[in-house]
Amino acid sequence: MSGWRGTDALFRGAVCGVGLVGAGVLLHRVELILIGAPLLLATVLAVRRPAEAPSVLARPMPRTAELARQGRFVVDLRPGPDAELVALRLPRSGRVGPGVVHLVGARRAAVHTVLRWREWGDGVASRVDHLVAGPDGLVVFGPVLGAEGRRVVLPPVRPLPPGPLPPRVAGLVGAHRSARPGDGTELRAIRPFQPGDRLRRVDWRVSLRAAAANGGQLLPTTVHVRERHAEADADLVVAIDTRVDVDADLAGWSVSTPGSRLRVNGSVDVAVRAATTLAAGYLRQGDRVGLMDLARPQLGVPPAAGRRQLLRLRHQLVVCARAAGWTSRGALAAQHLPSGTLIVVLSPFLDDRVVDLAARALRRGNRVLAVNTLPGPLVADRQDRWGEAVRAIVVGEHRARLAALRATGVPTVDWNDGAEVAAVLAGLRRTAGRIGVRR
Amino acid sequence: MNGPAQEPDVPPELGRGLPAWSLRLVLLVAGLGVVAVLRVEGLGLIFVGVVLVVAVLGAAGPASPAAGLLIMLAAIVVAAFGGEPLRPTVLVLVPLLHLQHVLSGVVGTVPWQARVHADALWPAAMRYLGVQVVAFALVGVALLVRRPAASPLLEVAGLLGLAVLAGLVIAITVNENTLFRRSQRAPVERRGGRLGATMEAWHARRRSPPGS
Repeated sequence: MSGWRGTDALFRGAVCGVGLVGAGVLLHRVELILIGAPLLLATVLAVRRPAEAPSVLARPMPRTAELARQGRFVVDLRPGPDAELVALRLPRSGRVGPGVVHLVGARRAAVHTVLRWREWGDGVASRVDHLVAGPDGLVVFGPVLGAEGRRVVLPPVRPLPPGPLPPRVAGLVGAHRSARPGDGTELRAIRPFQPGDRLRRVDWRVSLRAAAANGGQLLPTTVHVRERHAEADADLVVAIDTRVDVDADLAGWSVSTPGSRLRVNGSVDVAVRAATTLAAGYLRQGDRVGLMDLARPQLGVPPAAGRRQLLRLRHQLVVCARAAGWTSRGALAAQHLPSGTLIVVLSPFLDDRVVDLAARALRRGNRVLAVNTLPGPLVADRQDRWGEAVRAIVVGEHRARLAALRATGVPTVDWNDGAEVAAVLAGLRRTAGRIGVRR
Repeated sequence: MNGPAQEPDVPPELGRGLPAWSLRLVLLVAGLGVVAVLRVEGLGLIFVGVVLVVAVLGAAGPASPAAGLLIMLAAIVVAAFGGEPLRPTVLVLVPLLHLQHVLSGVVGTVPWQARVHADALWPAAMRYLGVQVVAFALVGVALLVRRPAASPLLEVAGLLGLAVLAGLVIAITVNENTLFRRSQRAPVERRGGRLGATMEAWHARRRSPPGS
């Protein structure tokens, strides 16, 4: 019976029942007997001495879940033969924190509830606390804290509006033309024959024309070959700025969210969703996509292709978001960025450091696109008399930073649903041939 | 017709159930009924106010001693005013105070935001009705044996019956592993070892123990 104990109800039933009936008999008051008898009788009928400890076990669920999907959460009950009530605190669907307590009959072998994941991230998703009670709640076992079930909900993959990326081609290599000469189909140049060139590459029309210009004699120096571009995968590196997580309300910028969670529709939330969308769009075409965390470069993922890379990136984005926090010096490590890589910097651009990083990457020969993830329009702190002035300064500085980026040649764009980014990416293709070309 | 296969051992989904605050509302109504009966009995307004406060406290904290206090207050008032022992006010008080006792025990196990499912209440309701049948059978017996000559016999029988019932309660509840021992602990944790601690006042944001 270890762990079972009496409640106030048992005390009340025993003391009031025995006391009132005893007093009624001794004082010859029938009304006291009539009031006390049901209490005493109910206590005698309901009181138990349970022999075994009950158990409540949650069945394991997958450790990884997709946003907006739902899963069945089953709890097995073994309350024992003497139990009548089971109080379960079950997790709430789509909400963080302790759930609602359900009081069910102890005859149930199991209960199940449906959980829907409405926020991506890493956290405690399921914990079943329980209390088992005997009839009329006279004896109870617990409350017992359940084991925590942690779950990673991956950031969602939204389709990018069609248009910005090159059309998909079948093959083992990517859809993009490399700067290197190779065995592709697109003409790069016509040049004199060199030792090592294959004969099938000789352009006889140009060679004969050159020979005719040289007196009609076909010499090795007059033979020309067609040089073609190699076809290669494009490299895209998504650089997210997790140093600050802010939303449109300036009053909340200095206040941490409950449970150290990310702000819904905050800058990190927007950046992660944008990163997932861009990565999925490029990986679908066979391109190579990598990830870089400006706050913590060690959390980066080198570029690679394939579905598994998308899964890896989504998991790593959750890790980056979990580690989000201020660092004074962001970094865009050059050794992790192959030359010619398209870098998409996702940041709220609230300090100059990230502007320097983007400009430096551009000077190294990368194509850089700056995507502003600062939610807007910003709302001033109404409690502070300087709130409006602060808002004006923040907006002004932010605007100046984006202008400075544009002045250095980095296109800037806001992330809405990706349509605007798509248009800018298409513009980048037109101006620099195709994405991924070395200049 | 082959439908989608369903897992064989998955129970039906847990429904919404009743809000626990509605049962506390019933508790409050029962408490107000007790107050009204005592007022009809002739209790003064000041004392009615005191009983009203106890009734409200009993509804707000079903796991508290307020319900027991209300029962004792009502019994004392009824006995103190005297009069016909089987008068209507007494007959109304019998089910009301019993309901107060049973409902406080059940509702006191959960917080007011909880959801209560019907299968949890069903056995307690059946037991309540059974006990009330016995109680009113007792009223019938009392009506039959109200003659003074039967009083000593009734007294002896009542005391013997009480001794048997009290012994039964003691035998069940108190032994070497007594339920009232305050040092006992549930396997993981329980609230402070206080008698009567249930999930009702349990802090929801408690962290799980390490290693759980």
